Amino acid sequence: MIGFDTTSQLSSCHILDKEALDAIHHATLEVLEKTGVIVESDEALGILDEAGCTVDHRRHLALIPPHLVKEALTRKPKRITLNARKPKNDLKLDGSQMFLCTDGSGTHTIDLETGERRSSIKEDLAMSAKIADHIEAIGVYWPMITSQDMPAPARVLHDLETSIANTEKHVMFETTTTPDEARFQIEIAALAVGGKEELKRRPIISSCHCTIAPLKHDKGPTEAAIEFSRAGVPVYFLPMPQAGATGPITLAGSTVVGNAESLSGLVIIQMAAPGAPMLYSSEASNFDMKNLRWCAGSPECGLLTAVSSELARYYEMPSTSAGFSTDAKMPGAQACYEKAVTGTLPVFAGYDIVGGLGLLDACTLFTPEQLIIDAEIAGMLHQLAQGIEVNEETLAVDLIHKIGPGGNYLTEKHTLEHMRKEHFIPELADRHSYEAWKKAGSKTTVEAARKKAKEILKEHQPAPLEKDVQKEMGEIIRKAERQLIRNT
Amino acid sequence: MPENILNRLKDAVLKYDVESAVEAANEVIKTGFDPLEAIEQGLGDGLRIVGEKFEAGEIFLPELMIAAQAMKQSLAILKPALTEGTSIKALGRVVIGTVEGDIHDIGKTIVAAMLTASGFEVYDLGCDTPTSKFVDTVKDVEADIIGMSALLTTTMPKMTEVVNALNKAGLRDKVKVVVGGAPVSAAWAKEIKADAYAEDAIAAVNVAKKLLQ
Ligand code: B1M
Repeated sequence: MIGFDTTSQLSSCHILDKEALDAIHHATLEVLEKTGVIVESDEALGILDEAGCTVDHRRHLALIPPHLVKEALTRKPKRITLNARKPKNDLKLDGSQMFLCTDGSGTHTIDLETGERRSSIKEDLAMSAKIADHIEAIGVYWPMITSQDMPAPARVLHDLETSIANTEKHVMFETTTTPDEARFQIEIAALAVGGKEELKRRPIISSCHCTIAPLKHDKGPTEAAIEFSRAGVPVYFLPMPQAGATGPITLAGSTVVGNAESLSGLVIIQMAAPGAPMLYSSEASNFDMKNLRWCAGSPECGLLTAVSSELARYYEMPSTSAGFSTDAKMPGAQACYEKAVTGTLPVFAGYDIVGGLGLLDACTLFTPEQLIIDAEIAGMLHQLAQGIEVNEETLAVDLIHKIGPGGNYLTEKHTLEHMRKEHFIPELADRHSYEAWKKAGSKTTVEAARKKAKEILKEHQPAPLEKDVQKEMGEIIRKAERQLIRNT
Repeated sequence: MPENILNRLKDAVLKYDVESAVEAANEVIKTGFDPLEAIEQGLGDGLRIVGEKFEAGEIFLPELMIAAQAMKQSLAILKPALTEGTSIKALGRVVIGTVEGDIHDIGKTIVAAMLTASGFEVYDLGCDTPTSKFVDTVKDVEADIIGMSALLTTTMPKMTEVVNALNKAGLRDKVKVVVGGAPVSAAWAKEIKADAYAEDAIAAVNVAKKLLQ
């Protein structure tokens, strides 16, 4: 099982009621129509112009009328499937399940053997993919760190190839910044599934594209998103207004800015490739005025994240969210409490995909230990969100009667049938007696996780790609290296 | 009266009041008061205190930035009135920008604001800055320091390109190179033969001061 059932979810916790969501929607439409968005790409601007936006080509400004937003919203599919190299790992995003995703595109790691903090290389990336492949709770793999030992212009291709080769799960990524890179990535993914048509039918990759708050669409990433959409690869735009710095200080105001970026991205894609699969997302947060940092572990970040899922449901779009984020510099107490707090709302909010597992230091640092710990935190939160199921079977009156006062339930069939689902079973948390814990070496959680990571790496081997596919991927990368390096 | 105008300039900065600062600067010109004294003792004193408060964690970034704005706008009025040959004692001239191909500019802007508030003369080139623009500006303004920011691992090599271009233009020994940004490290600074790495805006100010000692 990789999905977490959310049909019986306690509540989809509500931060905003219908009236507030309507207010945000209308405020967003007003911003799109009157303030507009900057669209750096001439291609995207042309698409908007043709669709009926008021476009100022000199300033790259597009004013988007409400009817176009409405049209785009009716064109996009309500449900999508993210496929995987191994079909058993396909993910149906239909609102009934939540899937976990690793955090990605980090720049550093703490070496599992030496404990030294250093820049990440391709080998670290392969290692992170293997561990994520093994952890059942993880549904989506986002290349966790960057292959910095590979030539810069072709790194996104090395990252993708290494990811596809080392996990049989869906791969989602965020680092594509030009349509050329996108074309090569499409080629690589198509090789793994048997051709471009097959990739359209079974997209095993998806791509995230950042907008620039406030209200700007970058040139390269937007053109890459259009390229992916035409190839049937699901995409989404990720707004990141920082309340107080690149968005209004108020959380509602920053939500409007982020939503305007998402919806204008939706309009661009649905006009370029009607019916293209898309997700809705946001990574709005607040800006720490004292320490001058983007906050990944703050309560405001949690609130903004939860609101974005409500907007996704409001627009009937599959949703993905960050979560489990932290500013801590190593695995341990700060990482765990911040991740528990920032993970809670997205899990309770009923997202289709919740990300953020495994990175530290504001999404820049990978450690295998934290990845393993985060999967456990996520499992516990999911259990909380399930609440308590009450029906004839769970009330178990007949059984209570049968056992009567003074007996026990240990050897009952009812216990056997429910014990794995009714209770969360931790893999890391220590529930031994003090003496037993001491005897086993008085291990901290981080040490236990490190041991587990090493075991996984020793024992787990994802099914390799076929030899000729590997070879062809290598050739595409070399071709891309020549071309992309020439372009820089 | 002179005391009074100095206090007004200083208070305007301390109260984050750009309008009053500009008003006082105009009055300096009207009354023929020494512009150099107005800059160094009035505005300068105010900004120094603001900088100290910020470093101590007593005030927030917007306050620092607005104070720096008050300084900048008043300077624009006062500078043309300086008698020929006098120059303001800026701590040094800094050219700063985010490297080509990289649009992350929040961190760089904060560093620029902190440097301005600390008394440096700052030329902010914005983001996605071509290598040639860095080099040309360093040459044109006779910069003491060049600060580069990169947030993407793929744009970090642009820093090497700028260092090489400075070498080629014969400017490398005239200007100190400081680098920063989330994926950048002290080891990287050393590798590309920069003079220093700064992990945040406060460190950037300290590093800049130290380099020019
Ligand atoms: C004197 O010289 C000096 C001295 C000190 C200097 C200095 C210069 N420069 C900085 N410092 C130092 O002082 C500052 C103040 O204390 C500090 O500056 P910082 O910039 O570090 O800190 C700022 C105050 C706050 N920090 C930030 O503002 C950056 C935060 C994160 C989340 C981030 C943001 C906000 C954004 N992003 Co981007 N973004 C991430 C970042 C993750 C992270 N934690 O770094 C990172 C950097 N982004 C990433 C990516 C991939 C991207 N982003 C992109 C876009 C964006 C936004 C537009 C959404 C937004 C930037 C908005 C803006 N106007 O700047 C794209 C870039 C496009 C491009 N051409 O550049 C895009 C490519 C995504 C896409 N496909 O669209 C990742 C890079 C991965 C990698 N391996 O390189 C990333 C690490 C996030 C992640 N884990 O995925 C110090 O570093």
